[in-house]
Amino acid sequence: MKPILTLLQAALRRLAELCMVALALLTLADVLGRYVFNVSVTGAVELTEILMVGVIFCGVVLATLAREHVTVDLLPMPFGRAGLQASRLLGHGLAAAVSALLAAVSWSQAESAREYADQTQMLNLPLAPVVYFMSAMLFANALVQLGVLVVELRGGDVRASVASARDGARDD
Amino acid sequence: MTESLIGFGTMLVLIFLRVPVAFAMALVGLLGLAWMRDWSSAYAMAGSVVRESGFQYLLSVVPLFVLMGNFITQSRLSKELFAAAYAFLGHRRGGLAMSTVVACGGFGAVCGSSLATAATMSKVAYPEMRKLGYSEALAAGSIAAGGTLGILIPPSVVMVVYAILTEQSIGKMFAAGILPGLLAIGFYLLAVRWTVWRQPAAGPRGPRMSWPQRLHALREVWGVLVLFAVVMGGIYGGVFSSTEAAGIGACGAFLFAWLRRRLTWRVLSSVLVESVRTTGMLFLVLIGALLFANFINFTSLPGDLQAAVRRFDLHPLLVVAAICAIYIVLGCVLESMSMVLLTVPVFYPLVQHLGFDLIWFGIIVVVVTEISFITPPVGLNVMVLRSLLPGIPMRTLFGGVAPFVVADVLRLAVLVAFPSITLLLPRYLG
Repeated sequence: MKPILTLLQAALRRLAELCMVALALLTLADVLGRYVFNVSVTGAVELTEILMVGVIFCGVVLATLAREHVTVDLLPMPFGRAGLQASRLLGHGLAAAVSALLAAVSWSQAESAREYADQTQMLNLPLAPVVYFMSAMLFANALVQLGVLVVELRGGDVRASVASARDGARDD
Repeated sequence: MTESLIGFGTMLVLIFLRVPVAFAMALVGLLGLAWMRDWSSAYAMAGSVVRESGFQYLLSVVPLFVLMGNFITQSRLSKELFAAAYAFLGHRRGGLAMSTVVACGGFGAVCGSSLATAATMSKVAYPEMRKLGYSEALAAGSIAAGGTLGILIPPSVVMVVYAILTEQSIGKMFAAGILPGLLAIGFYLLAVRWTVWRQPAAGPRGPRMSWPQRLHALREVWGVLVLFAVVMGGIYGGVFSSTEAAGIGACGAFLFAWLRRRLTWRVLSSVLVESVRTTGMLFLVLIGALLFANFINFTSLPGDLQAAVRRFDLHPLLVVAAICAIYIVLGCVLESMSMVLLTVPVFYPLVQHLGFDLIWFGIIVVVVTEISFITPPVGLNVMVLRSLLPGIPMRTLFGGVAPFVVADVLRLAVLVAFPSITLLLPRYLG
């Protein structure tokens, strides 16, 4: 399980970096172009929207890999280790199920975008691949949730694993 | 009404069972809507929410302001900011704690996150304060409280999300944050004064700096001033939109970090990926909250709330006070962004119906959220400090924060009583 997660993480990180840099540079180029060269980037708004999809949905999976989704661990779990394992099962299990469901609904959206050949207004870029990407990332997120669940159920202390995952993510 | 209460209850139970907040909200929203209407409309609604929240030009300010904040954090500017504030305030009793508050305000002016502000300042200010013999409580309390300024002083990610939820101008929202932000710094300085008046040993005086030394320290923070001036000046001078300002700010912050030789490829990569992760986390909460809000809008709750206010002939200010109380209670258990996303869609139609200005209400929401950052048991800034400064007991931390919580509540009362403090600048700017 771990090699797949590591590979996925590396690929997503590159894509995420690319989208984020492009998002910032696109705005800069648009503003500079408008004031300095009197030309603005054609379709800057729609390109921004497409890059946003890249940033958000890579981010969703990367946040799951780093266990960064907001969880309230205020109340101690009863029944000791068994209770903790049950809460992991419930938390990651439901998160995986909801992710898969959202992946399915956005897949339908992608199908309809393909059917109607939806495209952006200025550059006529097809929208279906972007919506398919959303769906694929949500589906990947469901799998990663299950992967994280397996790792946590097998491993010992959840806090240690979260800490090491975060440190790892910050270090590399 | 009953359906929405069941919905809220189920969601809270799931959250306490450690289901991630975003997924708990999405699940309850989906099931609730399927129950109120039918499964196919819930399915279709979920599809359009996911698709639309992805393709949002306006929301691109969120990742870009997060990126700007991360670059600024990486450029280790906090040290110079603290030194500059210290040059002016250090010779007073409690002067270092005051410097921390002012430096946090300065950091908040280029960073939209409270956690980042508290985390960064703790590394610089805490050791200095302890070296001079400050009490743990005052040192940690001033950092935790000062950190909350990050979301009130523009740019602020919470404000952006509020403005988008309530369809207000982001520029006006930012302008509204400036005077309350300065007021907050003033009240926090008074809280420090009060603490050292009660316990003079908690915050001894430092050496007095000469004017040339002060001016030299001030010169070191030019970058912050330039970046703030470019971002805010650009928005209000009509040079670019708030969305573009975020992009310019992110590029400017990159340049700034690079000029200070803080960026290696490795650091750059980690800043980018961290910003993407934060964005993914925030947007998932956003999607969950939108699904939940769609369900709540199908229940009779929004109408029932308005009817209840009419029936009992409640004074509008009493309603706002009740809403603030709900926020403070919720803030004890929920994290700030989920709290704003969850409650604003429910409350803002009511507040609008009562004739209040939504920009003003936004500032009130942000201020109450700030309070929730430092109140037990979940005060997030306090949690961050506990993990960064593991030696300090929780009781000391919350004890140190207490005077600042009082200052916050007083400030909230002032802002509720005098809406013109909030609404003065948006009238001329934005």
